This record gives sequence, C-alpha cells and structure tokens, in this order.
Amino acid sequence: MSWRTIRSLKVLVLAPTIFALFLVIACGSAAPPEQVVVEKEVVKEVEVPKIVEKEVIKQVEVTREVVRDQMKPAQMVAATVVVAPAAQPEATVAPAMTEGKRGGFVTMMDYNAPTQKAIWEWAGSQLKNTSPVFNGLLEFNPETDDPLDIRGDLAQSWEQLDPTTYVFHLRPNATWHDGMPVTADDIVFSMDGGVCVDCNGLDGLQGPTRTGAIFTDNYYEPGMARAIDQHTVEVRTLFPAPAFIPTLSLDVFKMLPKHTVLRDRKAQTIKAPEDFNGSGPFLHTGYTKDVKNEYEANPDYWKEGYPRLDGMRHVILIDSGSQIAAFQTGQVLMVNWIVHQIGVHDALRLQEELEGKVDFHWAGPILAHGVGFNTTKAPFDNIKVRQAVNLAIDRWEIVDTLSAGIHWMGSPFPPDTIFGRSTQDLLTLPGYRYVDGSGTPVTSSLKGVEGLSKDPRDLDEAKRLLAEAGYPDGFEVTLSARNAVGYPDEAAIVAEQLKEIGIESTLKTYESAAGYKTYDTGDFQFMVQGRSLSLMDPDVVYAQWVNSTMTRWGAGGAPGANFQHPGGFEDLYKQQAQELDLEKRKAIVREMEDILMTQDAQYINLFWGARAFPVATQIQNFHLHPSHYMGTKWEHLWCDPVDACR
Amino acid sequence: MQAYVAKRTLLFVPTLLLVTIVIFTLLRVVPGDPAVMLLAGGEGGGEENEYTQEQLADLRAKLGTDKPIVVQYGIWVWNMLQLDFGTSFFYETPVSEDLKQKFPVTLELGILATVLAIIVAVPLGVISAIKQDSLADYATRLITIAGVAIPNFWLAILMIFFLVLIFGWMPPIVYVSLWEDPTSNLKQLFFPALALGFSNMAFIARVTRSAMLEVFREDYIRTARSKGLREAVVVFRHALKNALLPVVTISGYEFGRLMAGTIIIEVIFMVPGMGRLLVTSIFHRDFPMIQAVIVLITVLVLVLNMALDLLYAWLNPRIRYS
Repeated sequence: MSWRTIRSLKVLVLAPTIFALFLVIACGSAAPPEQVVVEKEVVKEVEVPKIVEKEVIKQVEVTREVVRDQMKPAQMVAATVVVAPAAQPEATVAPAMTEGKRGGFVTMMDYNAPTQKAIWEWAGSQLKNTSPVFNGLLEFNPETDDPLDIRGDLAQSWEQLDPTTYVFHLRPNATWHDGMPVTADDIVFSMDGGVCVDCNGLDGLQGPTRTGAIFTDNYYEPGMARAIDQHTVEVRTLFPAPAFIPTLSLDVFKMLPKHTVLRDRKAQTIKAPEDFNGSGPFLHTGYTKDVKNEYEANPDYWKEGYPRLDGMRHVILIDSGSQIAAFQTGQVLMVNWIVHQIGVHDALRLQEELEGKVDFHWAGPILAHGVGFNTTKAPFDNIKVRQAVNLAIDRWEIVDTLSAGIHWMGSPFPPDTIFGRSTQDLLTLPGYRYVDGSGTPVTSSLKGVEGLSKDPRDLDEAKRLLAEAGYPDGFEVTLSARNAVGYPDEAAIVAEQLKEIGIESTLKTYESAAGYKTYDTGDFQFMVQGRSLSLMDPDVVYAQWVNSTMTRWGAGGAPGANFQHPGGFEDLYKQQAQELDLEKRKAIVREMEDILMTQDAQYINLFWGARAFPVATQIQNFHLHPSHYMGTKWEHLWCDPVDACR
Repeated sequence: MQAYVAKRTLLFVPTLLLVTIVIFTLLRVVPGDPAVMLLAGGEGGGEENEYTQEQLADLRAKLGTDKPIVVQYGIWVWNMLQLDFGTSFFYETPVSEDLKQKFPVTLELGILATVLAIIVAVPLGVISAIKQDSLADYATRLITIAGVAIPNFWLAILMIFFLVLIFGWMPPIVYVSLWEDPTSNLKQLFFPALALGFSNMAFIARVTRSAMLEVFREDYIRTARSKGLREAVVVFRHALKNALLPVVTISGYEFGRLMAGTIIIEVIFMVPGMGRLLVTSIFHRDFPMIQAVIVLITVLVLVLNMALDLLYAWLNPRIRYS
C-alpha cells in the first residue's frame, strides 16, 4: 500500500478540512478590539446656582504625599484620613452638574459572582453589582481626585446643628424607578433598616457583616432619624462622632424605597434583580448567573446629564490569568471594584505592558496584613514572646518582596498619614530600625539602600526578651495561614525571619473555610491574617484591636472572648471616637499607637497594602476613591471616543 | 438483553447510594463551615468580613447545618427522590435551576471536545499504522505521547498565553449559547474543547493505531489484498471497520473522564458550565450544589457506561449479554 493511495482518500482530506473549518469559525473575524489611545479630557465645570444652606462643618483634608518610584504620581491615590471637624464652618453645596461628553457601553471585569446579601447588609461583594441601581444620601465625590470631598447624592445639602444633630435636605426631583418621589420617609426607613435587621420582618437579611469596617450602627440607632417634612430629614448620632458623615458617605449606605420594600416584604437583592426599584442612574437589565450583569442608562434619571454612559456589562471572571488576558486583549475596559485577583506584581507588569492603553490607579493603604497570636497558648501567652516577635520581624523585607515597595510598612496606624507617624519617625523606633551595609542607621527612605538589614539592636533585644521569657534557645512553633490572598507567602517570609532569634516555625496552610474553623476553635499558635478597610479613620483602623474577630481569636476563639490590651486601650478607643478636636484626637490616637508598639499587641501589622485599579484610557472622568467602599455607581463616567467602548 | 439492561439499571441504585454517602460524608468531614464562608467571605479577592456568633448560629439554623449529619443526609436523599436538589447556600436559588442552565453548556463542551478528538485522532491513527515506522508515524507518536502526558489545564493555560502573546486575541469572555449565536458560541468553545479533547485525541489515536496494526496482520486482510482489492477498500472497508470497535468503546469511556476534565478547563476559559459551578461551589462550601453536581455526573457516567456496553454488543454481534 502506498502513501499516494491513502493521500487520495476523501476521508483523510475531509477530517482535517472539518478541523480547519472549526478553527476558522472559532478564530474567524475575531480581530481583537483595537484599544484606542486617547488624550484625557478635563471635566469642564459649569457654573450652577449654588444652594447654600446653613453652616456646616467642613471635613479637614489630609492626603498622603509619599510618591513612589514605580507609580505615576497622578495615578497614586492618597490614603484618606477622616478627621475631626475643624473649627471654621463652611457651606456644603449640592454637587455641580459637570458638563461633558457622554456615551459608551463599558465592559467591566467582575472578580466574582455577587453574593446574595441584601443591600442593607453592607457587603461590598454585592455592592459592586447593585450600586449603579441605587443612591446614597451622601457620597464621596467621584469626580475629583480629592478623596475627602463629600457631596450630596440624594441629599442636596446638609448641615450640622450641634455635635450630634444633622439635617439633610433632599433633592426635590429625585424619584424611584417606578416614578414615585424619594421622600424623607424613605430616608428614615433606610437609615433604620440598615441598622435594625428584621425590624421590618423582611426576608433574606442576615444582618450587617463587617469588612474591617465601622458602619453607621456604631453611631446611630433606630428611631434617631425623623422626617421634618417631605424633603428634610433630621438625624441624631449616639455621640459626637467625627467619622459619622464620612461613614454615611460610603457607597454601601444605599437608600431603598419604603413602599416597595414593605409591599414585597423582602430586601432588595441581586437574586431577584427584577424586583429592584432604585433611584439610581442605571437600570439592571439582566443577570446571567456566573456570567454577567447588564445595565442600561436610566432614561428618567433625576440628575441632569447623568448617567453619561449608555450602559455597562459586568463580566464575571474568577481566574486571575483570565482577568489579565481579558485586559491584554481589550475585552474588558476596567474593573468594577477594587477587589480582584490581579496581584501587585502582575499589575505592575501589566501597567508597563499596557501603557497608553490602560491606566493603573493605585489605592492605598486599604488593607492590612499582620500576625495574630493566640494568647491563650504557649509560647504566645507570654507577653515577652509577643514583644520579641514584634521586634524581630523585618517589615520592609516583606513590603519589598511582596510588592516591590508599593505597600507600606506595618505600623499600627499607616505611616505618613495625619494620625500616623512619618516614615522618618518610624525608622527611629524599635522594631522598625534599619542599618545600611556600613552599619549606619537609615533614617529616610529604605528603597534601594545597599546592604540594608534590620538594626542588630532590635534582634538583640528580641533575643533578650525570649531569654527572659524562658526561651533562651528559642522554640518550635506552628504558624498558620489560610490559603488565600497571599497569606502562605507572607507566612513563609515571617517564618524565615523569626529563625534569626531562634524561633523555628512550621508553616501550616489551610483552605479558607478550614482556616476559619481552626481559628474559631483556637487550634493555632499564631497566624497570618489580614483585613480590608473602609475608611482610614482611627475608628476603623483600631477596631482591629478592640472588639473584632481577631481579638476573639487572640483570646482563644470562643464566643464572647476578647483580648484586652494594656494601658486602657479600649477606653482610649471610645474617647478618640468622640473627640471633635483634631489635635486632641491625634494625641489620643498616638497614645494608642504607642501602647500597641511598645507594650503589647495581640495582633501586629506586617504591612499596609495598596491595590491596583486598571481603567482603559478611553474611559473619561475616572477618579479613584481609596476605600473598599469606593463609589461604584459609575454615573459620572463616559467614553471618548464613544466607539472605543462598545 | 432486556434482562441485562434491567440488571444494570438496578445496579445503579446501590452505586448511587454509595456515591451519595461518600460525597455527603466527605463534605462534612473536610473542615470548613458554609455559614462561616458566607459570613466571612474572603476567598479570592481578599475581602475579610467579620461576624458575630449570633449571626453564625442564625445562619447555621437557616442553612440546616446545625442538625445532626444523619438527619441532614436523610432530608437530602428524601428530597432528591422527589427531584428536589435543595437550595444553593450561596446563590439562594433552587439547585435544579442551576443544573438546568449549566449542564447543556458542559455537555456541549464535552461533545465538541470528543468530536474534535475523534476527527483528528482516527486519521492520525490510521496514517500512523499504514506508515508504520516512517517519519509520519514518528511524528504522530510524538504528538500522541505529548497529548497523553500533558495535563489539559496546563495546555489550556499555554493556549491562552500564546493566543494573547502572538495574536493579541483570546476567546470571547461573554458566553452566549449555541442557539443564540452559533458563531460566537463556537469561538468561545473551540479552544476549551481543543484543550479538553487533546489528551483524548492522543489516546484514541494510539488505540486506533494499535488496533489497525493488529487488524492488518489478520488473515482476512491478507486475503482481501490477495484478491486484488484496492488498498483504500482494504483499509477502510475491512481494516478500519474492525479496528474501530475498541475505538468506539474507548471514546465513550473517555467522554465520561472528559466530563471531569471540564472542571478546570471551564474555569480557565470562563465557560459557565457545571465544572466552573462545581469549583465555585467548593470554594463557597455550597453543599447542596456540590452534592447535586456530583450525583448528576455519577448518573451520567453510569448511563454512559451502560449505553456503551449496549452499543458494543450492537456493533459486534459476537458479543451477547445475558
């Protein structure tokens, strides 16, 4: 039999032909959508008559000013610090309606299917998909780079009558999607509904969850809001709370229509988007489970000129490789939330690769990772051992290894913020001291220093403390880490560093759910664990050490257990939360930091982290608010050229 | 034959029962509380919620995971007998709705992968056998050995990597069904099917080659050639027809194995089928969903195996089941 004979056989021709046909169909005309590089346009502010209400108290602005080598300064969004109201009052005005181009249909990347939590359960993981349909009372202005600029959303203006009383004036033309007007009753209902789970006997509410956050229920109880008239609401707080207004401005505090919620007797959730009756800029037009959420512009939106986009599609991609490839091929134009699986190193690589096509905005610090001790088990039941570990950890090595210097060293309060120490100060303190190759202390930036190492004095002191604790030769211990968000990598570095003082750590990793169970039962010695932050405010930052899951785990994990810090830390926490004088509040916060740094801490921060937020250059008017509860309503975005977002 | 079918069908019962016990027990033995996962979140992106013990207890009661395991199992099996697979812990929607949505996607992917594998594998195997020890044979063997050796998830990652790197292209990320837009659907499923079917293709090609070589040594082939029949007639009418018997069997069994392969492939290529559903359900500790998917796959494999046995008997009249 010859090859010539076989070659002539139809079937052998047919098979590759069919295969080739498949290939042609599959690859066909699918030329990658060309990414269009455009110049950024500046939003043009149009003068509108300002409605100046009574005097209100201004939020003092503080921004972090450390510019990092890897980032374009313009794209680095500074950490926000919400501080006590300043003395001088200033009028609060309604947001100016900016005029600009409009149009475009944006495909956004969504890192996970939305959770089924109701809107009042304040979970960012559903907020990313429900936010465009609803409004808050206030919002962090998404049209400015000033991360502290708060403006009205459903409220046209607001005023503070006394330290615990606020009055909000609603926009008279705001309507729900069913055409009914948004009234003060809706606001009162929503203010109460958010903090009073099951008050209205609604189905589907599990109660608020926490994302390292302090929410309005910290400052407010049901019944503390009342409608003065159809468009005016008075809200009282439990105590003078400098963080109340910024907290209320977070994107999670959405207002719901009383008439719809009471009629349906259920909270508005993504599992029944057909029931949505919001007041927001977009109508939710479809949810294909595990695939996409789709939105169309609300044609009857009461904010003139908004939304600027024609619509959006949130495509769910759960694998980091696919997420990266989707950006590389221009199939997604931005992420729909700050949370996603693209790590810092991948983001830096993409930033370089996609320069001119996709801007990478960096927000931080918005998360903290650290080491938590089980203080009920040896050897970490000994305060001296905890102090020794605090001194021995090389935080800069962790920052440099994990993020090429993008993150911040883990002091209790983020450095270089108004409540935190400056990096220079930090570098003079035990546990944070470094020397260069010649043994000279480094007192400024650590980046690029030759022969950088921890100050031997810190390591010597750590060894001395261990010896005093009865461990002159160190000890063996198990370091636990859930197999999530880089914990095992961080744990490996910590384990290696602690060898310097004789602590031999065996790394034990857990699948996420198993890890939680282990920590809940106190079956661990020490662990690497992190949290996300809603606001860079002392109320939020120090909540980790006051009454959190971490302090429960630190006290053995049992329900009701709570590790108590020395020096009246918990009392100081309450004190600062009510202190309206900025300088006094700063002093209290500093005192609290000193306790955590020098006396005892059940949890020590390794680093403060930043996250990347990629946005294609054709998307205009994007400004990143550095919070896990950043605005994701997207009413202010548009595309230029419009055809580049189809 | 009817008695055989009845016997095989009856055997489904203990097999299924065993599978339900194993999967149900395993899910409860492996650490991880679905209520904690729902409240704490934290997987993937890193959002770390905090929760109170009261919330945890309430949620456990709502999910029914606070009941004794035996009671939970009994409820599940009883409901399943009534074709009620329960409600997803995570999505809070009936599991059967998800299965209805996802199963056709996975089935399409599986069929496409099998078709691609057979289309490529049979000619490769035939050529390799006809041209034994030639360059074509060596090349084919190299490809097939690589196909058997390379894990499909790695191949899938490589495919995306090279598609993006060389062509700046990747399959569309927004899934559309075959009925909505066949072209887009094929664009999306072709590469996952290729990745999924590659190892099957290699295996089938090797089996085809071996079977063909064996058949070529049979007397009736020699007789056919000595009668002066054209080589094409000898190969296709006499040799290939007989050599295809084991190929059919293998292809069927491989289809069952391939369903398992969809799990990782669907995640990598963003195909919203049962594999991806299973993976996300495992992350969320969505017990009802995991159990239902596995039971469904088990039923599928059982039915497929029986169908193959029957097909084999139909193709080869010498085989008789009693």
